[in-house]
Amino acid sequence: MKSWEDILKRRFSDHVAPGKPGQDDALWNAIESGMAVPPSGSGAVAGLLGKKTRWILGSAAAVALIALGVGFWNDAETAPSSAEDLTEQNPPSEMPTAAEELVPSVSTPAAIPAEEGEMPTRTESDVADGAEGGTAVGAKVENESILNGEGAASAVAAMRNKVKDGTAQTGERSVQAIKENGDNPASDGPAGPPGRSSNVLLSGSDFVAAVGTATEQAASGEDAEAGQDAVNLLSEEDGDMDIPSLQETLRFVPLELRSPQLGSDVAAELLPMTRAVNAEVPLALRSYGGLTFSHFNLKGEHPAELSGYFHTDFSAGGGVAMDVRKWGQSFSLGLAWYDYVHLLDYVETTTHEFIDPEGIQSIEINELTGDTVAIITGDVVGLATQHRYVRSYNRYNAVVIPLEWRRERSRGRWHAGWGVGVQLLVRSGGKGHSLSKEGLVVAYSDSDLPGSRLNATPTGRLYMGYQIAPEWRLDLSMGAGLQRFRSRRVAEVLLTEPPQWDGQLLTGQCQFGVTRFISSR
Amino acid sequence: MGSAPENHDLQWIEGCKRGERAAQKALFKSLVPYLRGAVKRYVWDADTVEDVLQEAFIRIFRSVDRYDPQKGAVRTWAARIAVNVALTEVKKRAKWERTGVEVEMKVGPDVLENLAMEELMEVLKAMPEEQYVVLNLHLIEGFSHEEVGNMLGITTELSRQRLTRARKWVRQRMERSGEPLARNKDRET
Repeated sequence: MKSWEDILKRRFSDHVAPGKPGQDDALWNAIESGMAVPPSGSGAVAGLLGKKTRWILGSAAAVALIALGVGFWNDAETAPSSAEDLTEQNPPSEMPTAAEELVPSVSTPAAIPAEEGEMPTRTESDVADGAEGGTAVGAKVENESILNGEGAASAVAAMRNKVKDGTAQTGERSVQAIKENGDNPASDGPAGPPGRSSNVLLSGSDFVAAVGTATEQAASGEDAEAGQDAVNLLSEEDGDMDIPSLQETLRFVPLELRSPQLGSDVAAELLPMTRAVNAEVPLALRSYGGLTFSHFNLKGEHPAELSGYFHTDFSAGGGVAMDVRKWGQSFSLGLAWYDYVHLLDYVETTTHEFIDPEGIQSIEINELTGDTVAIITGDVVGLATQHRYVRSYNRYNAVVIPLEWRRERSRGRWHAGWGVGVQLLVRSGGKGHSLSKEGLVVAYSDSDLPGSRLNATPTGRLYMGYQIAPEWRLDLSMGAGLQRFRSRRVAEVLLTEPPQWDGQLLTGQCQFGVTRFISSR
Repeated sequence: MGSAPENHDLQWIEGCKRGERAAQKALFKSLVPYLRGAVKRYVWDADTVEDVLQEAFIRIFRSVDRYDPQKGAVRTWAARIAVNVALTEVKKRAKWERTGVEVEMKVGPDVLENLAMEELMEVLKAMPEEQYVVLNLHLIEGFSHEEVGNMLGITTELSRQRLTRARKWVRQRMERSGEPLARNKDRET
């Protein structure tokens, strides 16, 4: 005889409970919906984060990007912070670390030690009141400058070596020429116009740039005397060096750095930056990031009203780009990663037929008394209607290579432009829910999307920027693109895979960026 | 309970690991009748059974990477997850839900063989809840007392005691029915 435990064990172990008609399908649909929602506490929920969180993340990314750019700019410019600090920077071998405040009528050449054999650490011009004076170099270069002796000397020497082959020019001799002028502040003509001056520390390369600026002005006849002095200075021992050859030698030199004193009228006078320098700059590097938007529309055989269940949503993305000016045209080539999210908010309604074995087929009622005489039960066909609410944040992300042709206009520090081009997208992931033409919810993952991960989309972009320094600009841009977004084709899938869908994904970006111009002369 | 997994189960498991929807659906269709039967032993309400199954399958698909074929069949592994979910659901409900009127039933081994599953479960439901759960977990699902203790938050000794009471309860019902009772002393704990 079998033990009751064995009986129970056997019967329960083999027990299966098939669902009612349609029950398993409904359960599977519910599981699919549940799978779309990440487990609580999961870290991989970027695409399904709440709107508020994504706003915060997007904004933080933009701010961080800008801060990074501005921070880099500040680091690059090691400016003294006070006049006191400035006067203490005597040893030529020490790099000054603080910039003098931009104060009118600061002219203290006496405070600068100019001992024999010592590198002058400062040349300056009185720029605010337009008074005559200032050092020769200050007037010529139109800068109040602290020179890194070794850097300046080596830069000038290198420049001369480029210009004149076989000529041995030492840094010391170049420095000596500068120093002689620096020690004689009253020996030169009037300082340049106030608007041309700034308060800057010049490293070797910056000094070369500054001299280049002076020679340009000399060539244009503006401040001819100062310009001629600069040329004389440089050609003191190189009588055969001319301005065009000098310009030719100075290629891809960064523009002079200036400290923006945005809160001061005086500073505004001193920092006009009215030239649209970037319009002529052949190369610029731009980093950008911000919010991305996307909106999905079903196409093909799908009823048009189904597209109404897809809603625009946003995520984030960013990248870097190289802006190039060539053949009189402006182009951009970049590398970025964008994450796009759109929302499907839909109620799926399905109807299933089932047979109720105990359904009421007929009821017999006594007509006189109204009493129920008999109830006949049996197989009755019923209809079960199920509603499934689906709210799915659909993700699509890709590595993007944008190629763009641009047009730009400038007014003072403000720049605005537009660009058109194409984006080459390499899909890095995608998942979510779409709708079949029958109105059924179709879950998809990356493997359900086309096997080819490449896609190309035409794009357009509007942008504007504010030039915070000659070589730095903050940008705000709005871009849009359109691409096909669909599931794999019939020939590529197994019959067991979900139904197909086809549509268009409209994408957009609202991004902040920082542009660094690299000058060429 | 530890039979080797079948090939197609392993193929579906591998597909699930790659996130393939088709493999997930195939595994679902394969497991759902069995898991529904298992869950019904703990949860009476039909809607709640479906809720438990939904949660169980989501956990199965999300933890599919942790499945070890060396430790047993896919069905066994999945059933453990489903039973855990069902127990969690049971714990949420303060009281055992008994939909029918409690009737003193008298059963014998023949009756156990011939009763429909639903009726058999109705018979066992008359047992105190805590004993019924331990009886199922230990006797049917094959969990050790230590595992049962961990799942229910009770000591191993208490699990043994409850199983003993459950067996006693069944024996009493059978003896009352007048049927001879086959005792399985080896399993007494």
